[in-house]
Amino acid sequence: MRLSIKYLFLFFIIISISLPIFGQDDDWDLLLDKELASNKIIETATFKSSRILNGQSVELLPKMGLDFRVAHRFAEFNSTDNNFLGFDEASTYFGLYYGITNQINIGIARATYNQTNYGFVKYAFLRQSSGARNIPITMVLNASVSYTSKEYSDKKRDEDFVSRFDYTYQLLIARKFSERISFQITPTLVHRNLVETEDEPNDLYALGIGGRFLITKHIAFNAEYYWVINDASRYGYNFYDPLALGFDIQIGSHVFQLMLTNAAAMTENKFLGETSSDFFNGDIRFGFNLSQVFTLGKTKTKIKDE
Amino acid sequence: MNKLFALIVFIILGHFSFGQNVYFTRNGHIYFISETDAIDIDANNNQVASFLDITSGKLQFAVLIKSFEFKLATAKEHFNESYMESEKYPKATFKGEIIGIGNINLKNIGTYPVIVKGELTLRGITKIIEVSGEITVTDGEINAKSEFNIPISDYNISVPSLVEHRVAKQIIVKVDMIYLPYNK
Repeated sequence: MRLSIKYLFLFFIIISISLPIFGQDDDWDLLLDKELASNKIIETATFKSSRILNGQSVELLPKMGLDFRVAHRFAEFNSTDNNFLGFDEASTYFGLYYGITNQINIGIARATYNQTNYGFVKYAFLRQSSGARNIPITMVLNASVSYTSKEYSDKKRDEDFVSRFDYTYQLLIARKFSERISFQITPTLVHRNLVETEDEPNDLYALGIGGRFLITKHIAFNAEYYWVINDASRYGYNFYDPLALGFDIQIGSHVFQLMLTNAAAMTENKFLGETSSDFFNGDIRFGFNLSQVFTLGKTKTKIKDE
Repeated sequence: MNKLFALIVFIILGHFSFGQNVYFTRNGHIYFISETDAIDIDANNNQVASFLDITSGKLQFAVLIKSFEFKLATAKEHFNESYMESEKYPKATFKGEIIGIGNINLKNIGTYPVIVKGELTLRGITKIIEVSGEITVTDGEINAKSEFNIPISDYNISVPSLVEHRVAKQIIVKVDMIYLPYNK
């Protein structure tokens, strides 16, 4: 009998050793937190819209998302004495962007600036992620083509179909540092099949720098600058680097982007290659982008068993 | 020698009998939907972590707000930034227990209707909730399901008046977990 009491005692000791291993509440807190730390999370909303201001951002529409975009750039405030701060003239842009998948977006647009027809494909091949896979940046390729349909007075020039095409290739590299702060750098190559003068290169290199600061949940301040490296300004031509400062205002699925910029055009090939206003000389214009995002098809997901 | 043998037997028995009481999953599923006349918005999360102790009836869940995935464009951004403030409150938790666990034995195969009561914490706010669900025990795994409503006002979630008609006052939540025995 004495022996069995001893064994019973031993049994309790073993139980008390074993128990803590199998999940006391405190352990569960820690263990669950550890599990959550390995959740796969893809960072979203690096920017509020698919354009920072003038140029493309790393933001993509989700699958079946449709973005209807209307944009205007008015004349410079100082352009003439009687043009109501530039509002009498406007360069306009209508676009439709669409999410084929969460990684691939396409878009088409028409801009009044030189009657430009524009199309692009954006492919997000790396997404900023945390948890199971830690990826510090998002990388997106953007390739766009632009067809200038304006009429040229020179008949030979007018009939040269191929000369009307420009191509832009961009690598968009961005990081959302916090909920408030995001940055993007954008190495860019613009190839123009025909340029106006011999001094202008067919291949234009540029580097974009952009960022946002979220002021409130629905209002962000954005800034975007493109350094156009080899434009003909070094030969005395009036070409300037495009700069834009503005705000994103988000109301539901609308984003209003209001900005001050020196660029009149809204497609990469034109605002990089043909901006002739000097921001720092006060040649500043008001501009806006309106974006309305729709979701085609059902907004609901299908749930398995019901 | 005899004692040593007994010790080993007890250790093995001890681990065996206690090890099977705790069940766990790291890829549980939580679905929710906001239904209004204007729009239905739903989201899925397949990375829900949870423990279930079948003897004490204790249950615990943890989920990251950022890992809810939406189909509706821009909904994830609004959900995280405006409504749930996931930067400030990255996770939601539930700690509770099955009421009357003494009356059922989750070691036996079968389906058991249950009531679970506990603390649901969202956006740093903790409320006691009581929900009904169903636990199905099969060979080696336990499936727990529940459906309940959460009034957003309970958690001080405010919807801007412009989009008020697009967000439901009561969010329908569906939980579907498949637990396996927890091996440390």
